[in-house]
Amino acid sequence: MAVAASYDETGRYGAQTPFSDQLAPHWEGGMWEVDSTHNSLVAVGNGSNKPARAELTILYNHGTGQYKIERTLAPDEQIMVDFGELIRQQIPDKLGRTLPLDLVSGAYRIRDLADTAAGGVYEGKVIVDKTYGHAAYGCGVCCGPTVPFMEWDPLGVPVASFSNQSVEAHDSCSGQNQDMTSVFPTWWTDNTAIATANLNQINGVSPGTTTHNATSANIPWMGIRGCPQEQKTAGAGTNVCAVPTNFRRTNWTGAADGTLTITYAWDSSSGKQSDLSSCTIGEYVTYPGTANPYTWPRPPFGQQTPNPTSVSGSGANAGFTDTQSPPGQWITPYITASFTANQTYQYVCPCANGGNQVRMASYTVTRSVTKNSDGTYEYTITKSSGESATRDPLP
Amino acid sequence: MTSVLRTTSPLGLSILCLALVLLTHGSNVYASQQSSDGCQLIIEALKAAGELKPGMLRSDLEKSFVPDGGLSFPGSGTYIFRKCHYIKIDVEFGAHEFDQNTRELSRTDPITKVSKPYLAYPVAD
Repeated sequence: MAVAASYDETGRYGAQTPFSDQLAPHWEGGMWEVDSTHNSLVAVGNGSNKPARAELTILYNHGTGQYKIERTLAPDEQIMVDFGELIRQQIPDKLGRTLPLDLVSGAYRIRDLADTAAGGVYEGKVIVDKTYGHAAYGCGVCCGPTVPFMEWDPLGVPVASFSNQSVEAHDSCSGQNQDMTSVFPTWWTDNTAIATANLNQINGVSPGTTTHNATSANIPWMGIRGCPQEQKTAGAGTNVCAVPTNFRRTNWTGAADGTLTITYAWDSSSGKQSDLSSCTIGEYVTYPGTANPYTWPRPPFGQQTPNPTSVSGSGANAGFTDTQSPPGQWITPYITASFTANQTYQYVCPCANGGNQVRMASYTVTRSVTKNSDGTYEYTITKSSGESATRDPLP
Repeated sequence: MTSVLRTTSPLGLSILCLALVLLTHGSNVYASQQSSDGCQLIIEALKAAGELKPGMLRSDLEKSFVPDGGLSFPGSGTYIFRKCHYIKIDVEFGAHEFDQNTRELSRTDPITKVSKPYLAYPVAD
């Protein structure tokens, strides 16, 4: 690390400062001092080839106190901040806060807010000792993304569809994950018959497994001046599988006993129904309230059903029939009543939505008993997709 | 072969429990429980389910059982005893037809596997 030193003619007043030869999106600075015999000056510069939004945070009282300055710096532009001046002149920060007049020490942090992943700012600090002509400095630790990795490994990708991937990396100081995708412009897969890459969009071509990879651009924190110096590529597995598509109603009937029967079919995104053998397809139905089983309004209905109701079968089937039944019993004396169930058709495939349910369609199913003008009662079941069945009159 | 997955309820206690109760009581109790309507119904259901063998057709199954409400798949399904919809069996079928026009299940599908009867609330949607 380079250190610049300067003293007056007497040798009494002097300064030394390290100037980092590294660029990073984030720096954590060591102790600074300001009192009657010391002052601290911090330089913040933009060493990248694009504008930086540099934020200097002065930390005190063990980090509970914060004072923030923000400046946009052009490439190669540098600012110098005099901590003693900020304190003595009570200059407000970007949020209107001032530093306590009795403040004598603390730490500091520098970030490039314009690009937290690949920003390239540098720092330099000097503490001047006015009594002994001595200058000291604390170390600034450069912080940045470490080893990049793919957010999803393996990444599930449906055939004839796509999944988005992200590159992340741990910040070497905070330990938190940062999204690095924007600085990884080059993406590819190892088998384009299975999957292709369009930037971070991985497209499924046919069922199978392969890997996908990304490499970063030349960004300031990588390479000789990089901080920290880490690898430039990331890779992950890719699992491509077929998923159900074109879920559709194919037929429906409303029987005189009030039974509504609807048939549905679906296709495979690969064109082969048998490719859906690793998928399940089914329904999830909820009834009013949380009681399980749900007791239908009694009278007039005599029925209890599981709440929720969940039924599923293999996606390799060509379709299914959904029978929406009247109650097993009719209970007299009849009264007007109704209730609504919420039905969702969904599938689960290992390569879609992280292996969780994917909704295909949702409907409401309303059952009602109403009184006719002649004193009899009728039952109607109506699905929000337009199908209905009626039993009139009730027995 | 595929199977249909359904939620079970606390009532899904197997008939084995009932059988244990019958076996652990004295002969008088055994006789009275044998003669109750509930017991007779269970005996009928056990007999009907026991008569179903691989190779029989969906039409044979539907003499004593009907499809449960909710979803029915060509390759498998849950059936409920006609006389008591709380008694269920899961059935799998071999080469199964699914009419491409009507999307109805073929009554000539051969049975390949029949589960033991169990108790659960009937499904309606």
